[in-house]
Amino acid sequence: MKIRLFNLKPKSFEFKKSEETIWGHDIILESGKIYQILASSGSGKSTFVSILAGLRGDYDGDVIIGDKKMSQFNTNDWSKWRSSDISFVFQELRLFPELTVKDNVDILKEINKDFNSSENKTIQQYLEIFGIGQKTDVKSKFLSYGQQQRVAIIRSISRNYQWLILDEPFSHLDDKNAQLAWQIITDDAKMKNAGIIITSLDPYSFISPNKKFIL
Amino acid sequence: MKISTVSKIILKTQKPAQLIAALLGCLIGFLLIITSVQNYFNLNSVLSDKDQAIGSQYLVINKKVSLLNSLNLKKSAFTKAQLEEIETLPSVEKISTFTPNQFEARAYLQLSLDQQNQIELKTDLFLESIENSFIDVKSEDWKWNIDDEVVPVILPADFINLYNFTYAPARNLPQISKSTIQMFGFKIIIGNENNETTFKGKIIGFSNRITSMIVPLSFMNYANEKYKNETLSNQDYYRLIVKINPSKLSDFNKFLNEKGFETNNELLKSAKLSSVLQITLTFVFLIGMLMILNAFSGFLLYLQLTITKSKYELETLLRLGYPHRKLVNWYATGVLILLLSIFTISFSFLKYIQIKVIDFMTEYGFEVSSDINNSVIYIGVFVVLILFVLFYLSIIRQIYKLSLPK
Repeated sequence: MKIRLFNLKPKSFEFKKSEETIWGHDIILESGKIYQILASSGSGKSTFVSILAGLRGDYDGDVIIGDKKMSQFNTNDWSKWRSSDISFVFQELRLFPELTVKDNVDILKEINKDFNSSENKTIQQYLEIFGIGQKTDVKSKFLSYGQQQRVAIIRSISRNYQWLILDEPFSHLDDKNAQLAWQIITDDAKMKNAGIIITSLDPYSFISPNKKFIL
Repeated sequence: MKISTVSKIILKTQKPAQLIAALLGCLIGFLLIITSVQNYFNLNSVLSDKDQAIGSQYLVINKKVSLLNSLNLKKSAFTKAQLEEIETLPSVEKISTFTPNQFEARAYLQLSLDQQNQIELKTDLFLESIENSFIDVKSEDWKWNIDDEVVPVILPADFINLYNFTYAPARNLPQISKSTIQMFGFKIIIGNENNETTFKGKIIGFSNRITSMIVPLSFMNYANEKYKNETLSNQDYYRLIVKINPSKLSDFNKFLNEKGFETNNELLKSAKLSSVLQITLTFVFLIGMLMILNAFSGFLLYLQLTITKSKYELETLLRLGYPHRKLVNWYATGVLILLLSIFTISFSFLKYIQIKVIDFMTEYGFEVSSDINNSVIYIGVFVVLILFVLFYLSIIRQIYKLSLPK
């Protein structure tokens, strides 16, 4: 599924015009490819993620998903886009603090009923790989931010998606865990022939995107 | 039953005390409304029941007497047209005219209670007759045929009280009971010195409805024909007895006032009492409506607060792709369960209240059905439906707002 950014411009701030930015250009993002957006704080990378997630509608231009304009999405379109086409790791993570790690990931079973989990590692296996295997039954509010980020990453890949959007997913991970997480993410996206859009302050040497945007 | 993860997420943000308070308010308002409606029907059934109306169904009416009547310039008899008009009123079931005696009549009573207590009474009599169906005293002795020597008589219930508490003390006579006076006969002498007959009068009962001494209509018609005083005019009707629908007493009272007719004020007071009762119940019903509107708006606000308090959780679920319709249905199912619970609990309480009401009213001689009136159930269902629709629309609006871009 292609994502077309058609002259997309945020209304809430003045962006820096350049050839490398995502703003104000006609850009096509293709499934199966990796796109990296580098930007300092306040330059609009989270705004871009919010637009893709349908959280903000204050923009000019459009985002075209397949052949449908996002500005014309109704509630059913948003529901479908969010439940089966796109998966997120939000900058603010958006875990449920009162639920355990297991329940935070299991919630997707109620959303993605057709997800075939047998093709993936189990939550426990992922937690073991990330070194937090003993935290399965701990409420997420009792985890460190870095541990929460790892749970959010596990949650994002424990479902079907055509696009995986990651908004500063490694901000509280050391290099070793960041590389490990990236490996897991790219393996999973490749298996699903999904595209990845990752935003970060750091370029991260272990990320080799098909295209890099600089805001 | 395993609670779904979504239920866990949303319920974690709720405070049980707030929910209980909102539910209690809703329950009290709903109970008040169905109780007042049910008691409205209870009262109506008593008012409409011909066997147990509050206040009499029977009213004796006459025209108001004015100076013109006193100067003999105007009669206060009812005209034929007036009788027909009264008979056709919606509040009137039937009427009967009082037939007065047009002959001279006197009574002579001599009672020997013991050697020292003797009662002797002589008086002119004013007699009346009406149709038997209007008489509240039922007796097999209430009949007269042309050869009968004994004429049964019914006295007003107040008569014995008047005798015992005014006449007897003033004349140093002994008081007598109703049963005592019924044991003794008296003489009824009718006609004049040229044509006079003596009958034996026998008191067979006391009427709470008729305020005059009455004799069987057969006797009155016979005596009026045979012993009529030629100086008197032809038959006129100055008093009527009317059987009315008790729930329409106020309409009838309005008619009386318009026409310048009058009746016993005590009977009308009881009519006003029933009207006051109906007004009170209507007032309670309206208060109930206000309370329930208040309670329901409180419940609606609580629901909105619930969604606001769960805003982070709901937004996150929607961002993760949880279908907005499922969220709406989750809340709608919860509201429906709560409303049905309120409905069931309220009607259970109502059934209990109805039993107590029946006990109370039976003590005062009224019969009320133990069943809940069907209209009360329909009103209850209607209120629940309206509430559910209002809540559902509110839920949809809020969830949809969260799922769309700002």
